[in-house]
Amino acid sequence: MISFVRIDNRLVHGQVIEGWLPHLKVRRVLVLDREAAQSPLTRASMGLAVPEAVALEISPDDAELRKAADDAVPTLVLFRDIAGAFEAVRHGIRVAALNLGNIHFKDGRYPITASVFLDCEELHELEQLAREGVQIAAQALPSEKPMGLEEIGARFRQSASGPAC
Amino acid sequence: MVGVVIASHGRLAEELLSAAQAVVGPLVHVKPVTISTREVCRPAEQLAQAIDELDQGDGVLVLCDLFGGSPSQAACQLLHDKRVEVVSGVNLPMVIKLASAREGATLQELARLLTVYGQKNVVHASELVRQFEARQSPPAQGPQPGKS
Repeated sequence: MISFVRIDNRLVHGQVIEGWLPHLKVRRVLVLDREAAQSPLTRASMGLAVPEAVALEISPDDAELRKAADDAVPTLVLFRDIAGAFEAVRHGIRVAALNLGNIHFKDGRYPITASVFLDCEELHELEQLAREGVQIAAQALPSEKPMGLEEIGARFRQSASGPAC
Repeated sequence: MVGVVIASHGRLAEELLSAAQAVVGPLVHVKPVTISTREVCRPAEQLAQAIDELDQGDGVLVLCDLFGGSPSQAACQLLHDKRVEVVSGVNLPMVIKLASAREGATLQELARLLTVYGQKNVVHASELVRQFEARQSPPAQGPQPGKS
């Protein structure tokens, strides 16, 4: 059962372990990331960081996500970027809501919140997901007020000083 | 001498170093690194660069703030480098100890010593003080107040 889907370029880290896990009370964390899946050191350090009561799976593709969507274990799903989540939804995986946690700055991206930066394509993908019924919210920590897509779009246009795309 | 990177969220690393130096004076071959979610640079690359700067042939110890957090995740990505050891849960006593513990210590020895030292320095201070006080002054003899 997919309980929560988050975009976080740090994947498993302090905010997830100390902030979201106690809040969501999930029993599994599923990391969907090719790079992390291929690094034994990353797998080990992430595996040790998650509390014992929570299972951690690191998978390079959607296969595990499909299984998780169909079983009864409450699961937090982590993607490194919006493209990954967009692709999963394209492939028919039902996602009720998408949390934007950390998407770091790079060329072409504009600031939305302190930890979320988006480029044109990402904004378009979010709008597309919203049209398909996915609830979008930028929120780094459970204690923060979530920011909806309307506000995200407004901030994007403000940061890009006009319609950048 | 083993080099030391203090890697943290926010300005913790810088402030730990500055507080320690206020107590024991300048600490050489120690560098604070802030791992920020805003950084364009990847955390593991930030740490690798600091390690290259600090290594004088005896290796570099990375002291991280939180096991599982970004700084420690990044540091653990570098473990294929045999010059690197990582200890997580850094506190002020550990940084202060760097003033005296590094002389003649190997990288492995320093990592082990600081891990134990850091844990030993987390104490329930009020309880310790009350117990000590109670041992110094035994309870007064005679009838208890309120009883006759």
